[in-house]
Amino acid sequence: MKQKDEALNSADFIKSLKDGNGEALTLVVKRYNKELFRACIGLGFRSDVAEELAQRVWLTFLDIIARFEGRSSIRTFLFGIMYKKAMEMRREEAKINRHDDVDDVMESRFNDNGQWVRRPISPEKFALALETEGIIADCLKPLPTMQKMAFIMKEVDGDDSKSICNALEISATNLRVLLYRAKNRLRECIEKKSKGEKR
Amino acid sequence: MITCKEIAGIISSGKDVSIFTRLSIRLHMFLCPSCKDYVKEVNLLETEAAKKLGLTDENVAVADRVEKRVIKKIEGQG
Repeated sequence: MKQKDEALNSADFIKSLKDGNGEALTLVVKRYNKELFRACIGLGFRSDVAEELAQRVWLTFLDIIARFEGRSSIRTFLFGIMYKKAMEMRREEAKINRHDDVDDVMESRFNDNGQWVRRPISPEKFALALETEGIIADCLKPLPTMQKMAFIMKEVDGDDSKSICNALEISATNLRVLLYRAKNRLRECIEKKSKGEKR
Repeated sequence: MITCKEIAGIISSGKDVSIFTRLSIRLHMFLCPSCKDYVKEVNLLETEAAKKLGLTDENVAVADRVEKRVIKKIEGQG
């Protein structure tokens, strides 16, 4: 491996990387991707988040490799990007994953076996409640801004997940958390408002 | 066996799942009226929200006007 690494850091090879030579870039990805991913896991990210992180690192790497000055090894350069992106991701996670009341509500609706403790109200009642003027807007109002935006972009504007993630600068995982919370908050709110608390 | 709680998580978050999981969800819903109701309600919520919160024609017209003004301004500067 050592020898191979030396080849990956030769002046000629680095020049071809900076010129965007596809073969050279592929070689680097193949050489370091496993190690990079393992390091992401090592930093304590869940597998799906680590996957996202590794992908972001590579995209950034491809973006800025032309500016690589060769003062460190390719590996150090790559892992430098990774640490920066990991920190970004942690901040983002902390912002979004802060505890949300709806998580407790959802937790209380299932027993230890994951079965419903309290059934959802009947879809007929639910549909009727949805017809009430302004009910969706009212239930939407108390949602945290990010949840609101994610829900509206996804369900009202019909944007695809990728462009939503780009616009809100969040990972796909975090978008799912936001949508999960938004939809369950809304469903719970509408259920509550549809008076007959039971079925 | 997939649980009700897991299904609620997958359905409301829009998580991509394998075809095997999709089939398990189908089968589960066939046997579990609560999950069937839950999924129906999340779908209702999505379609109604799209209908009721979407831009009205009037709003679209206003947005168009703003857009035109901004573009004019940009062109004026250039």
